[in-house]
Amino acid sequence: MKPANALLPGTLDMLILKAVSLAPLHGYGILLRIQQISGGVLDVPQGSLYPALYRLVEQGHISAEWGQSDNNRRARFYSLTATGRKRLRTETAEWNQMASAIANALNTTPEEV
Amino acid sequence: VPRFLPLRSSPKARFESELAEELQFHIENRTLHLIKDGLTAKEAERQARMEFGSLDTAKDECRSTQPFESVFLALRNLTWAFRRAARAPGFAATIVATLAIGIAAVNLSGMLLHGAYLRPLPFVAPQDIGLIWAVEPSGGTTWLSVPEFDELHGNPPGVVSVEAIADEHVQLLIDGRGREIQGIAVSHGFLSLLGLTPLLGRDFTADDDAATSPPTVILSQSLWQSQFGADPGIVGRTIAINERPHTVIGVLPASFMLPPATSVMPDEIEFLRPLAPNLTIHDRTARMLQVFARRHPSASFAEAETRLKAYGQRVVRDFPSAYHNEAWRFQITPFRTFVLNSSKSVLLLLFLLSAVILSTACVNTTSLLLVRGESCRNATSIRAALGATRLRLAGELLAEVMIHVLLASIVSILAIYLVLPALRALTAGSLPDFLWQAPTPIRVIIPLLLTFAIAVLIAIPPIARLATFLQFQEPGRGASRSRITAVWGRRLVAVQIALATTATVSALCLFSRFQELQRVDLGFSTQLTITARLSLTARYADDDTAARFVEATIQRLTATSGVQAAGAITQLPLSGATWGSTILPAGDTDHLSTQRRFDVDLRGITPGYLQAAGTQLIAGRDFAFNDSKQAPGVAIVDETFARQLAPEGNVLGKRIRWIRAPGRELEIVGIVRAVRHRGPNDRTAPTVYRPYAQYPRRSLYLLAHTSRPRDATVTFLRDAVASVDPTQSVADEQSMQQRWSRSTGRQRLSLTVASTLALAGLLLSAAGVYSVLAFDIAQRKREFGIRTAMGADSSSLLTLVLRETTPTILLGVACGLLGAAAVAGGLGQTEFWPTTGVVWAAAFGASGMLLVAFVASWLPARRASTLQPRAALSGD
Repeated sequence: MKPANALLPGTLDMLILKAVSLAPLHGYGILLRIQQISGGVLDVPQGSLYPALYRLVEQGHISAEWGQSDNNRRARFYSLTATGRKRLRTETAEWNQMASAIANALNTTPEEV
Repeated sequence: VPRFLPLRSSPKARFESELAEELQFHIENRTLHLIKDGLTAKEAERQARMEFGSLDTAKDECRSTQPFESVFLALRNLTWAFRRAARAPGFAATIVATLAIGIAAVNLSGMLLHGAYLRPLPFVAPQDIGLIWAVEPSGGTTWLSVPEFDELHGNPPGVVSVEAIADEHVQLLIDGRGREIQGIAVSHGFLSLLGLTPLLGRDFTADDDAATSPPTVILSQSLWQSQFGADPGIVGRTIAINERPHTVIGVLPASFMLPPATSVMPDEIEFLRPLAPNLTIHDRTARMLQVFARRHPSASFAEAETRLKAYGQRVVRDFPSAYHNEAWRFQITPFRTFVLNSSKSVLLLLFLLSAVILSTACVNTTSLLLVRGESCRNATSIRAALGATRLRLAGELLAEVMIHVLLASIVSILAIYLVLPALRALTAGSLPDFLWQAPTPIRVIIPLLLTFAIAVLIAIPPIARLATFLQFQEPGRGASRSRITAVWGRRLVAVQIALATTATVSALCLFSRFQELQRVDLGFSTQLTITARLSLTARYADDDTAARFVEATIQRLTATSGVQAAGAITQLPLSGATWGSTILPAGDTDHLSTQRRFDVDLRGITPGYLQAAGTQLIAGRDFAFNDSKQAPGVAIVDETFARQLAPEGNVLGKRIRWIRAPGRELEIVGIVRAVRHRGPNDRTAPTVYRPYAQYPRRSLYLLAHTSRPRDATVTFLRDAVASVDPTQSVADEQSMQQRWSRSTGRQRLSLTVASTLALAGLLLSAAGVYSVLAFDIAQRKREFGIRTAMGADSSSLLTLVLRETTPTILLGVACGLLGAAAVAGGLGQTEFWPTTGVVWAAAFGASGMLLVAFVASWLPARRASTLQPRAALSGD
């Protein structure tokens, strides 16, 4: 059985894009932000976070820059690029469309058939 | 695990350090977070690391997003493999040495095969060149006569052009000193048929190639350089050949050569002369021209063959006496096919055996890797548990194998270049030198491809084994571990035994065949006889003068101290020269009766020849010097011809006639033993000897039977000739023993190489069998300990092990024998005629292999049987 708070496959990239769209964040910050904005429901597997970040950087959807963290440590901060913003918009629209379709389907009563 | 560490300043190094820093930052933040939640520092760090999972896996996945990462991964694996090899140099050296032997063997034989078959012939469009042969009613192929060539040249049968060559030995006179040179007489279109043009000057034209044309010559580059100092003004100069002035009209390019398969042609072609002015015999039965043809690129040889068939039917009909009214025909062979056939068996054997050696080496390496894999099993399982992926482990293993194979390749190539001069010296005379000079790209590309293929093949079983390490070991499955190893081990043992048996049995069969050939009665002695070729100069154009000169030389030789007998013959045994002709019984006027015609080998000999050559006179008398041209015609025949002529009785005193001078009857005055003129592989052809004075030829061989060392004897052969005529040169001075060595050189070479390879294969496979079985038994120490504790004695343990290994050994030997039979089949009949000797050799080889395999399995079995139960059970 999958844990209840595991991510749906293919949604990690979208959540990362959303998290960094709000403000530039380092890797651990992204993890916390996703937990925060999902109301503590979604738990990102930590080992998978960094490969996803590196992949998104390679694809040009986010950019990475070294900066200073809250505790004055050197950290790598990720921010959304223009193409990333475009992809986030498309994926959000597609997700919403899909989610409402699924919700509609699941809410269907026998009378409506 | 050691990692590939690039230079600190490189982008890759920066990437690695930043990745490590970033992940470290993550772990530290998470730890701080957990400490805030109330965990102790130690617990918090442990918890943070567990939540994160394998750092190595995360890093690998991050790396895999980077461009060129696969290159870095390969480099990292290779570095890892290097370090691992450096940590166990003995293991690495064993694998490298094993593989190097195999790769060297294959590269060497590959080089020879390439030189012999694959390298393009140095002509334009060599695939369109063919050779035209006359086929005797008996099926043997022979050259063409001048009238046949003229007819085909004038009306080419389905081909673009037809040209001919004949071998020539002439005397070149420079500053009053004679030197014999060898070359060919060619029809004037020969060079253009091959697509070649002279380096200097011009090619022959039709004007040069007529019976009455002024003498011209084209020199080879080496002759031009050695005798004329590469004189740039050589074209147009006049030089003396056979005491006649010849105008040099050109110099051949250095690349000019005819492949050695045309072995009846001179080894080295030093000059070309036009054919027509140098032809003396125009008889239809005198077949002395090798005929070349070039087809149109769009035409086929089959078409030419059909036209040749029609031509053959026509001439047999038109000239019944020349063809005995029999089924003579003509055929065309692609030049490449002809070259292929000549030394096929030797080279094929080398290649097969070296492939066997390489396979054995690969199998050994695989088994060593499997054994090592078992011993590192725990380390591998732990790494797998820590997150090393299967792909990663397989990549490392492949890299490790690749490193060893590459090192072995380098070692083998270095070894080849080191031993090449020695090999060339060893094979000089038995293999043409040009075989050793394959072009460079092929020499590099083929071994590299081979290396790669070998590495992949070797790595497959250990990689397959890896998969079983990565499964969780359930407590009850301990036994399966040694069972799987045993199964793999036994497969490898069977393959090794089979390969080694193939190599050993093939080598022994070859050896046996060679021994049989050594024992064949040649009909002449190869001991203490020295020979030299004499090409009489133009002053001996008259038959009587020639005969007087030869007689004087032989009498001078016979008078020399240390010479027991001396003589001369027109076609020396083992020299490759033969002269086929036809003999008719006297009184038989029906020229067309095929019943009473005898195709014989006709040779002219002087008195003393038989004694000097060691050919036994069975009955009658030897020739005497008074059997002169004017004296009654006489002949000596060999026992084969005697049986054919008169199966029922004595032929002494019978009379025969030579078809070219049917008016003169020859009385048979002696019978000699049959002689295998072309060497031990040859059948004994019916032979008729005539006195040299009655059958004079311009080219002949002097022989002296002596007890002196060779060099001194050659000097006085030369001295004897010079004392009679100082301007007459001798050439091709060799002892009969040298000619014999040369004619059996190929077989001896293949035997030497085959035995060396077989021995290497035997040793490799014995080592392989021993190591696999020793490992298998070491794995089963606990089992043997329990058996001993339960009361099994050492002999029953020994029996147990041998009972397990016997089917494997028998299977291996049986497969190996089948393999040897396949090798023999591939080689054709000449090398492996299934004689009793060969059968014994196969039986001996198989039983030898059985013995080696049993000893190799008995040694570890005995060790197992003497184990103390306590020692066996305590250690693991």
